[in-house]
Amino acid sequence: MSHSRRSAWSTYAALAIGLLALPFLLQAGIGRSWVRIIDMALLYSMLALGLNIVVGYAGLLDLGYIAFYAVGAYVYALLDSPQFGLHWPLWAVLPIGAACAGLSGVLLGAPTLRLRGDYLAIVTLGFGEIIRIFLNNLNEPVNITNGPQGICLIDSVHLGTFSFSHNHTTMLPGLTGPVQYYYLFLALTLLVMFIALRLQDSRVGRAWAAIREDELAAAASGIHLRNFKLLAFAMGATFGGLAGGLFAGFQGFVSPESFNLMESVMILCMIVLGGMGNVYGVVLGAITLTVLPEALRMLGDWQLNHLGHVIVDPNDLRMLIFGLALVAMMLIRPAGLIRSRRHQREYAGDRP
Amino acid sequence: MDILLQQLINGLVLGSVYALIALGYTMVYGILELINFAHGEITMIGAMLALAVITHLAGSGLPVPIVLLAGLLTAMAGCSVLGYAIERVAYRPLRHAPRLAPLITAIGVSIVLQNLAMLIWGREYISFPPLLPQGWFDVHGARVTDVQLIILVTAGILMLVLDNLVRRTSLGRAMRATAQSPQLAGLMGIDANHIISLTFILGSALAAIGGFLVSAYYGLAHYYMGFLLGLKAFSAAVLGGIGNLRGAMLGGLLLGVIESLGAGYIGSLTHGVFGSNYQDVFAFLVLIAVLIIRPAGLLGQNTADRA
Amino acid sequence: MTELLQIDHVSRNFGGVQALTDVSFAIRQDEIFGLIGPNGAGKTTLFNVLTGVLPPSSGHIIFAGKPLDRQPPHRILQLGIARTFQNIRLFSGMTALENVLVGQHSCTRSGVIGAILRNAATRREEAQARRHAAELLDQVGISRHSNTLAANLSYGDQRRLEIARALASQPRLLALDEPAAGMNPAEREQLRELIQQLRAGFNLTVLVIEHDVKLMMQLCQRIAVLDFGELVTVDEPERIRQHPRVIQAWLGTET
Ligand SMILES: Nc1ncnc2c1ncn2[C@@H]1O[C@H](COP(=O)(O)OP(=O)(O)OP(=O)(O)O)[C@@H](O)[C@H]1O
Ligand SMILES: [Mg+2]
Repeated sequence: MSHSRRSAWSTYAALAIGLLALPFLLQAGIGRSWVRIIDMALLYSMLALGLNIVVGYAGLLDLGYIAFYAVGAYVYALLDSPQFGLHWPLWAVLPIGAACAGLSGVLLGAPTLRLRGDYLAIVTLGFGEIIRIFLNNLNEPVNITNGPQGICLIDSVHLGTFSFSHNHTTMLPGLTGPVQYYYLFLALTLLVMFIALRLQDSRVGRAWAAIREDELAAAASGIHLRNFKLLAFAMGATFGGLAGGLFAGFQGFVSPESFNLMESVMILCMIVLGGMGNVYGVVLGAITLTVLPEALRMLGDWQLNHLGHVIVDPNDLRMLIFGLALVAMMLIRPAGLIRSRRHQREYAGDRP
Repeated sequence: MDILLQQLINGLVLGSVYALIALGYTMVYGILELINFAHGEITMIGAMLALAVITHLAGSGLPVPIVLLAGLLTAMAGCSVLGYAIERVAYRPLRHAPRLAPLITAIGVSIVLQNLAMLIWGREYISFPPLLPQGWFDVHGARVTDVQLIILVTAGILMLVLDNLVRRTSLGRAMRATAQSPQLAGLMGIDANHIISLTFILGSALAAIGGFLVSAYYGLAHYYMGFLLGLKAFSAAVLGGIGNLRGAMLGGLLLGVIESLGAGYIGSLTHGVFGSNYQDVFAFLVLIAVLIIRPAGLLGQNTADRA
Repeated sequence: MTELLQIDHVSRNFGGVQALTDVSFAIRQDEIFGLIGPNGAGKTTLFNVLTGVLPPSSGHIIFAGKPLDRQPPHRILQLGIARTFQNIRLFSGMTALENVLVGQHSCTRSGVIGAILRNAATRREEAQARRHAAELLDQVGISRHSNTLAANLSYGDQRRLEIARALASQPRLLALDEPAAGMNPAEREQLRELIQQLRAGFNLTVLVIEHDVKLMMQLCQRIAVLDFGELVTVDEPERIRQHPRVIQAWLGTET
């Protein structure tokens, strides 16, 4: 084994040990709530990786992505809660949720994907709002979604008799619910990353990249635009649905308010920040943007402790900072972030 | 009471406000092919500014029309500056960037405006001071309030003025020339940047009026109001044919009527399965339907590369 | 000699502009067929109609006995017509090799499952596609740049890469829109040889638009002349040279 190979392996080993030990360290160090925050960060990573397929790979700006998360979450909530008295097993509920989300991705995409990019953005945004309005109002005349109150008492994520929410501290000291979720989510995030990486470096991934760079040239190279755009939409939505299902089981509660436009924008921020199309960057972006607000919250506590009262509520500042970050990123490196490096050229002769 | 007529009137009133806001989308799109995503938030800021001034002056003893006018003018001035600044800072540097870049910036700007408004004016609904006339009169069994009449007349006059401005004046000609081809307009001695700035200013001032009228109509303003309002106005612009001024006016009025009739009748049409709480869905359905069936909109030319 | 492509009374207008008016001609199997005409004559428009980018306003195109009516671009490519663009349209953020790999899209099959599992069949297909792409880059003479981003290639190499990308789909008809634009005389000469080599090596029929009349005379077996969207004549280079309207229109001001 060469020296560099060996050092690479030891880096991986250290990383693996670090990832495995992380929740215990956090729990012992700064408290269990931080394990939950990291759990959320992993969920968001899955979501962002899904959206990255749509936006980063295929170049389709989808502003209603959170709707697919909502579909996954509500499917889980309806099939695993007292709402209808159903308690289906995980292996059925998660795939059904992901499939429903994927299907709604196709249903939305089929009529709209021939629209030009910016129109697509607005239509998907509208779609996201429609889903939310329906979730809010489908409590009468037949109560399906329980309206704005949302659905609670959702079964935790469970495999057979093993519930991820229950502590197993007798099995292993410190093996609490959040820690178990951490391992589950970590495994799934790694799986989604693996899939995303493999897709990127494949015939399908190249077709998406070609569409992102130049639709006309892609079509002239034999790529069926509609099918490949739909495929990107469906794959992204499927990952969104998967994350949504996990979210429902993890939280035990879903309501329409968790799925508003700002959530879609947040996820978009994650992939813009991380560098669109780059799998590692996207995960980094997701983790940063989930952890940062929590860190800001500590800033609020600090003010309370040292100044006696909260002068600026960091929660209020959070979105403001995100907005500014979006603008700044685009102004500083627009072409680098939207990876399509297509410059403004004179297309006159070939333009249809 | 005649329900159909009542819904029609309500729809026209709301629609005339949508039209005012839609004009801003359409003018900017006509020149820059850019969806000014922040336009809805500019409308919200307009409403907030107007309300702030009016609330402040409400107890001052000044005559009501002066108070209202002061609020309106402040809002217009503030929004004009805001629109101008947004174009300069957030859009102009990206004029030759990939298409999605300015759209993402615009989303960023919206978030900033929304959260600034929340920091300044709080999370609660702000109510319009009770200065407005409370009267109403009867038209064939339907009730038209004084406020509704004021909105209709104001919006109507503004639309007429704008239409003439664009069709008759040299400024309008310059705008149309720039929309056709910025390079050619440049050759003809028109400063495209200047025209683009003016377009943003004009659109933002109209949005301010729209925001003011909406808050007068509902008696409320809220930091989140710009989002839905903006989306609806955008839908209206697309319905009429984005880039087309008269299209935006027509689209706004139509959308208002569709929404109002839809909300009024959806309950009886679906035997109570869906109620008027689905009102907000109509704008999106219209938007999606138009984009699929006739992407150029009602008055737009159906060129192949529009959508 | 059999006819591979028939253009049958094709017209196309843009609003008031009549870009093509009732154009009819046929291209034979295995020939190098030229298309010349002044700026704005409608040459590129004909390419766009041929490759499904634009529908014709009227008329038909028949390729290898099949009508191409209303077929989308990717279908037309699958049927065997590949093209390059007058204003180079490479995937500029991808390497030269990746561009050619995209060109092989229609000759490869693997989908999502294959991409994720990377099973034996997928690996085999990918390896073969890469080998083939490398060969093509070699054939157009830019193999040393296979890992360079397309955007960073020189102008001439970009044109060659576009040809390689088009060839990757194993077309029967290769349509080149001004492949020599922006090249110096030496490069043009090399390009002529390349086109002739490729024609023979790949059993191609070639349709080429070019303003360089001298080059076209040497390269093509037959040439069609378009002017203001109308077909002036189709003939052998010698006869084109003597055609009165051609002389009048622009042989006097040969580029
Ligand atoms: N998409 C389009 N929309 C409108 N007009 C077009 C379009 N494409 C081409 N035209 C017009 O059609 C005519 C023919 O253009 P075309 O590009 O086919 O010419 P060309 O022969 O390729 O010229 P050149 O030698 O300059 O490339 C021109 O008048 C052009 O302006
Ligand atoms: Mg041309």
